[in-house]
Amino acid sequence: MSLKIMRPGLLTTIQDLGRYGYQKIGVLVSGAMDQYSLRLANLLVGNPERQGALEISLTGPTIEFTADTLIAITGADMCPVIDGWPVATLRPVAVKAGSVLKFTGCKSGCRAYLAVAGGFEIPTVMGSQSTYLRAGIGGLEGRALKHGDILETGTPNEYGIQMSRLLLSRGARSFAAAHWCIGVVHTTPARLALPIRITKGLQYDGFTEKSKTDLCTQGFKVTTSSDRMGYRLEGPILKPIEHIEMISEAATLGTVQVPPSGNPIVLLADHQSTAGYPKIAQVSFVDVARVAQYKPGDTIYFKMITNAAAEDLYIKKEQYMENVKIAIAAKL
Amino acid sequence: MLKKVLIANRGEIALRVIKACELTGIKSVAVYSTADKESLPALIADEAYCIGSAQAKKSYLDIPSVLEVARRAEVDAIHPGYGFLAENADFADACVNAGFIFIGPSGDAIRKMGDKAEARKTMTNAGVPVVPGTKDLITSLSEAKKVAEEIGYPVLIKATAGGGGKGMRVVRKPDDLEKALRQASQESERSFGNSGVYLEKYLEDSRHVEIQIMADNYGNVVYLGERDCSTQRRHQKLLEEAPSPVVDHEMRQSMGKAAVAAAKAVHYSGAGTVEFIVDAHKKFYFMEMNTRIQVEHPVTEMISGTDLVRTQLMVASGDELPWSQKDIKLKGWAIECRINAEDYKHGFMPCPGKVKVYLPPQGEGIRVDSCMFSGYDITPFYDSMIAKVIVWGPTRLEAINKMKGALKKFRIEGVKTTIPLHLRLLENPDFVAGKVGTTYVEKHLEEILQ
Amino acid sequence: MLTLDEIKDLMQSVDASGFTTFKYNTEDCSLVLKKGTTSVVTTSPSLTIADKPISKPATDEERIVEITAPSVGTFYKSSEPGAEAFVEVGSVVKENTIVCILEAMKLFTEIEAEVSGEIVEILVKDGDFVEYGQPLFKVKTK
Repeated sequence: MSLKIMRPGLLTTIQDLGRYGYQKIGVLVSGAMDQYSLRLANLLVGNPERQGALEISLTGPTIEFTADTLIAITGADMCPVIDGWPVATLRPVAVKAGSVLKFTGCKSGCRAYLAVAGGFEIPTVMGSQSTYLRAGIGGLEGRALKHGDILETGTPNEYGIQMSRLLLSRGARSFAAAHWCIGVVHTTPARLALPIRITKGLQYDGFTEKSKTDLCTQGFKVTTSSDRMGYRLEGPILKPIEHIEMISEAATLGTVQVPPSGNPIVLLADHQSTAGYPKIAQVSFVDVARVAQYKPGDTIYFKMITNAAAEDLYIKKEQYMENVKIAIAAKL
Repeated sequence: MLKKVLIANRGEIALRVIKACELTGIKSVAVYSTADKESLPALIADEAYCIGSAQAKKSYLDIPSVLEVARRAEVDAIHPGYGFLAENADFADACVNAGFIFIGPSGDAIRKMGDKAEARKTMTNAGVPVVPGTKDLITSLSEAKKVAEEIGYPVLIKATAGGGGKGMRVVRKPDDLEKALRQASQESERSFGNSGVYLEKYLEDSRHVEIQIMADNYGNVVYLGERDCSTQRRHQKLLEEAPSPVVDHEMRQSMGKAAVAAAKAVHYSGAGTVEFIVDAHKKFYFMEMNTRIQVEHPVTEMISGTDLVRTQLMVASGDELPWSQKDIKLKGWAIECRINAEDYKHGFMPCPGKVKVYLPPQGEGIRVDSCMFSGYDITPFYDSMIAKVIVWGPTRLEAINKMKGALKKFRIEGVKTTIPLHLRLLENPDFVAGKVGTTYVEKHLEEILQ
Repeated sequence: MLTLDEIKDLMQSVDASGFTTFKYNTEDCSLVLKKGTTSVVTTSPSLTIADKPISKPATDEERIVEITAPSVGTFYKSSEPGAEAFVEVGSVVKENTIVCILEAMKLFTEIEAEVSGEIVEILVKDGDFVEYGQPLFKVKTK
């Protein structure tokens, strides 16, 4: 069973939940920019949450399925179609052999995830299938997908087999989508308008009062110099009270650091392991996935919350994920 | 104290929990399938919601539906009863994730004890004696052969995810081992989706003695004596009694302490039962732990003067246990007979149908736990239990006589019942002498029915 | 009295069991299921199977049927808050027309009409909790 990549899209890579255990030797975590969408896509096809899936950015690929395959598309709404028919997202879809999937345009959000029941048969590098482009490791030969690539898929588990059978039993032209879906996604325009919740960074107190106020009242535009390593934002200049002499320290996912230019950078999946710029804020873990759904040109607003509140959000989100997993299993 | 509880179950246990809620001033919410629309729990609960069609998978086992009702009815806690979702660790976790108290132990504790091979390991580490056997799941035939030789035939192959006798095979000769392993493994895979099996010494004609424990959320654990459930047929209990005819005071203390250690090893909370197998030499071994309230809990209640279901509600509310170990005093003898709508003359085939007349016995020391009433239609979708008749007497002989009297007065017309079988059992000299092991009824069924 | 759903459940239970013949008798009906044959024999002249309760027939050719909830959940009349409702009174539906969404444990299920005709009444409000079997819509059908 395999996927034939006819057109690769702007930047389509295989990502899972990241490469852990090697930051101390300088190997970054990488992984999906929107972890929750990746996990949900996997759950919908019965895969373990951390299975490798396709991360699709802005312009999607054109894919031919050589065998009947169970897939799920989550994240940004990129208007997927198969043989001209729109494919519903956020639910399992049984695609018949020979069908061709296209993405016709990015309506909202920035990154979509396509999971396949059984995952992809590609080797893991240091325990992960995630692609780190700069070092050329992981994923398919350490690079983005290109025209002509063939991705072998693994064997679906019992859930994948049964769900596929169930969906196709109702008769299908080229595909059969489930009549149920995960609701409430963070990629709708309404949700994207909500502020990104942050907590105080390690050097927060070293910034001017104006900077602190601007941080949570003014909008910051996502510049075109934004990528998987980080989003470079443009807005009111953020200034430390006096120059902060920094020795490089550990940087983490979601750290908002401020280089001398005063334009903050939000560190994302391919961020370096250490950073020498003062850190004004930390994006709460649950909202890192939301940052990843902004496109260059979009404006981000921030809202300050306490550490305790951020932890609470994290716990509630994990409880939601556990329960969604049970609810999905009950759909068989 | 909890204000509102949803009972994710049906039949007599649902009724039992509703009654405990009433006593404690807690509002009850029942869920029912279309087949149980006219059942007592649906009729007398403070609120009742239809959650699905008759098949258990579409109603009582449908986790999202149960949780949706819980959300709508704004309950504080969910009581799973026994069977159905009671030992489903995912369900316990899902309740907590959704913001409800699960009246029972944590999903973690359920998982640890639900995996039989894992439970054996935990018990061994806690110093609780286990039936001699493999330390872990069997990974090779040669390993199985070696252990079987060490512990001595006959051996019993058991499924780690198993229950109800499925995935079990007795092996008496080394030559039969390979085939039996394969069969047990396959049956387990089919029934439970898990092919893991382990090996134990097969203790023939042993007795099944279980200890009732109760734990609160603060680490206090108390044992409330034992129940003897050796009167079984094909691993299904027919009759239970408390105390056990083969357990003396010292043995009770040792078993009790072992059961408490077992519960503490998994940070247990709520009602639980630790099952032991007792061999001919009165040595006891851990068999498994049931992480729920059990069908036969009434006999323990009768001899200890406690209300176990009510205590479950209190513990779930965050109260400390209402008694310490020294407060538990056991008095007299209690027996429970499980009356089923079955044709015991023809392979115990279930006989659903309309119960035209239902007149249970009454009197001092007689308790009937049931949700039957005259005109009730027993449907074929669930188990065939009609009623539990429980009696208490100051001695075993008096309890036996009282049970005989009660069963003789029990009028059930319209369906076949197992009452006559119980009456014969109660007159059987081996039973009266307290000599019935777990294989007795199966072996002597014809005799008993003469 | 057994409903069609209950008979279907029974058939599944018997099929999964080791029994080859299954007889069920009550005062009002008698049902015999035999495995391995293609016939299902019912012997009761008064046996009627009602899976969708019929209220009052409008005319000889038309009758009103109800679309009932196939599961427990929260009723939503549109795909998203603020979006157009799937159906209104007067909408014409076919069997596979989506009429509403039911949500349970954060999963949203699209409910199909399973009958064809015209919606004459909507019996629940957006956001209402519904039980299994609860009537949601009245449809005028031929």
